[in-house]
Amino acid sequence: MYLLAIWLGKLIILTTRLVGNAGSALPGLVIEKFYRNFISRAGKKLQQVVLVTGTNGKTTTNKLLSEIVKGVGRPVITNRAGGNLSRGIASALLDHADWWGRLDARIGCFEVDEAFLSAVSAKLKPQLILVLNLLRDQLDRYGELDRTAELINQGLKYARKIILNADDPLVAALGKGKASSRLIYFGAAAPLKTKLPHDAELLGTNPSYLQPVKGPRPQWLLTKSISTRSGQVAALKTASEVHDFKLRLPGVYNAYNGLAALAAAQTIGLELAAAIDQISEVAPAFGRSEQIKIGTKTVQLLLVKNPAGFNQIINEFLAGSEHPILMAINDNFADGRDVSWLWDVDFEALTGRKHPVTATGIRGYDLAVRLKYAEIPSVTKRNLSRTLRRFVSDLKPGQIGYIVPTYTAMLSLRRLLKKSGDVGEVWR
Amino acid sequence: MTWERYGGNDSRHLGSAVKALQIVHLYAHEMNIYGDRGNIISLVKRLEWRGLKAKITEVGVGDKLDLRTADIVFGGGGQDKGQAMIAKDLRRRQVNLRRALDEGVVMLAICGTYQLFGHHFKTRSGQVIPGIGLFDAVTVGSDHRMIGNLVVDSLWGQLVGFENHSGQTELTAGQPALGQVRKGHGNNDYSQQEGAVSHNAFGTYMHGPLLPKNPQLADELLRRALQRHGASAELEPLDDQLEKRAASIAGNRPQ
Repeated sequence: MYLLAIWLGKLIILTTRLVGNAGSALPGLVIEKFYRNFISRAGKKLQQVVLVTGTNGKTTTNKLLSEIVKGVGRPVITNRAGGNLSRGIASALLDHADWWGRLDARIGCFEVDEAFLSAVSAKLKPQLILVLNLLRDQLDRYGELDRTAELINQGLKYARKIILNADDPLVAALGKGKASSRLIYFGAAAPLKTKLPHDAELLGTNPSYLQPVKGPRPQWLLTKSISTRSGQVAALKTASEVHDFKLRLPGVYNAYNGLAALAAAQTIGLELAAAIDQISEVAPAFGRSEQIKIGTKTVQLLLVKNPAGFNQIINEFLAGSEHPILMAINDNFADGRDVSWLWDVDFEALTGRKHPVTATGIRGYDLAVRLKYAEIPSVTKRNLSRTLRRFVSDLKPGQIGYIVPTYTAMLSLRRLLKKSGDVGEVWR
Repeated sequence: MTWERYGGNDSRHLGSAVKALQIVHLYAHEMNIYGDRGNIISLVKRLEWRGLKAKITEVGVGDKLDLRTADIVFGGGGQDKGQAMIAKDLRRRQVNLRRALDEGVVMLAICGTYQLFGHHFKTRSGQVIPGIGLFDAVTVGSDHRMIGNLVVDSLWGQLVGFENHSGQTELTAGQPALGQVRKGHGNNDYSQQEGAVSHNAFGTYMHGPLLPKNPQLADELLRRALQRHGASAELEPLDDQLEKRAASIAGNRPQ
């Protein structure tokens, strides 16, 4: 049955490659329909499985971790950006299997959508699950944060060890009732913590129903995060040591991701010093602060999915500058069909900006209304392709234009940019 | 379409009658999900652009609230846990809120707050959470999650928003709804009615948030609030083309 599934899957991969649709999760989708236990069966061949979940940072953190593992010489199977549902993992396993069903790696690092963690975890019985954060996100997909936490909690029981964000009360609470030997916490030192509000602090103060939670003491503490031209310099503290580390990614939110990836790397047996060496080389995942050159111009893609992420982008890149900004808001399923979340974003932080923001995307006018009420000048355009072309041509040579899209807008924009510029393959 | 600063200074005749409109934001932190604070932003800005001021007071569980000075009371949507937290506190304020309603204080209650403004909410597990009965309505938890774009015909034109609830709200005969559903579910999955209106209190399941894309309703609330001060009912018109465009596009999105 397993072999049949493998052959079926490989045939589909060959077909999709011929049709030019390489990398889709179609093979995985078909395999799972054909043989429900495919992931468990294939997964048994892996010695170590790490699952990464949370609202923001999954793709980046999983990429950091996977490239650390690969970099120290251990072959790893990982799922492509966007393939964080069960079928994406099945596709990834298939990709690394030969016609006899043998895998070419012993370690699997997968990012998993919060709602699917439980199902995937039950099938793979991971050595480690890493939970990054729980923030209001696509509310029309999950309805409520509390329920999402519950869903994640159900998946945690299958993991040997769990790494949790001590600074996010909803995530830290997932440690309740579990043996402390299974739990590892990461967090940031006080001055850094305030730069990354958790959901309860999102609107400025704590709701009364969240008791002032004294978070658990993190075994991994972020003590420094300073942005540089090429990313950032950071530092971490464990019980016994202090280590500097560098990232090619800016911002405190990425420092957290980096810290989590390093903690995960050490937990699965890698040497911290080697992991730190590797992590400094990892380039941003697609759409996440990825820079794309078009001739002499440069654009930086800053994916946004929810208020916390958008506020981070505003803080890190947009506030206080007159860089050209293009914001593209869609409301397809993957973007979140309810755009109410735009009103939980602190666009008022752009006050003082003179150069109008270009608002586009299917719900560009909703964004324009939000900006109007934030009294930030903007111009609304409908045709994405023409708007992008105009935006790039208006850039001065050597100037960076910031493009802030929701997920499907990012896919469209990236496709358009690929036609005209120098864009890498979607990160494998 | 380029944004321009709107707003005139000819509203001084209104300004002299009203120092600042007092807006009470109920349970801003317990019921803080879904971007509903955008309704407050809409009201405040639309006043500012007419040369008027607004003062927001956030009232949480256990906080003092003097409704005698309130002009507009607003409560947003939240998670089940938030709703459970505020229910008792809201009940304690029932008499005062009832009096305020009778005296014409403007109110806007969204989703979870809207449900508690009815008589009660019966959860799926059978638990009955008493409400404050400002609307003659009852809500029952169900397995049907009503999610999607919502378009409603009302006395204030077409309203466009987004609903996300599994509570089914039934209005008693005689309790006016906010409007008829054009697209989506509204109060429940059978009546084609959405929301409720009692005197100057409006209840609805519409997120979006509601007021930014439906500025004519925002202005209606402001007008009613200003009228209680004896101010003229005339509000200088603002240029709402951007809002109308956004509403039109949103209203044409699939349900």
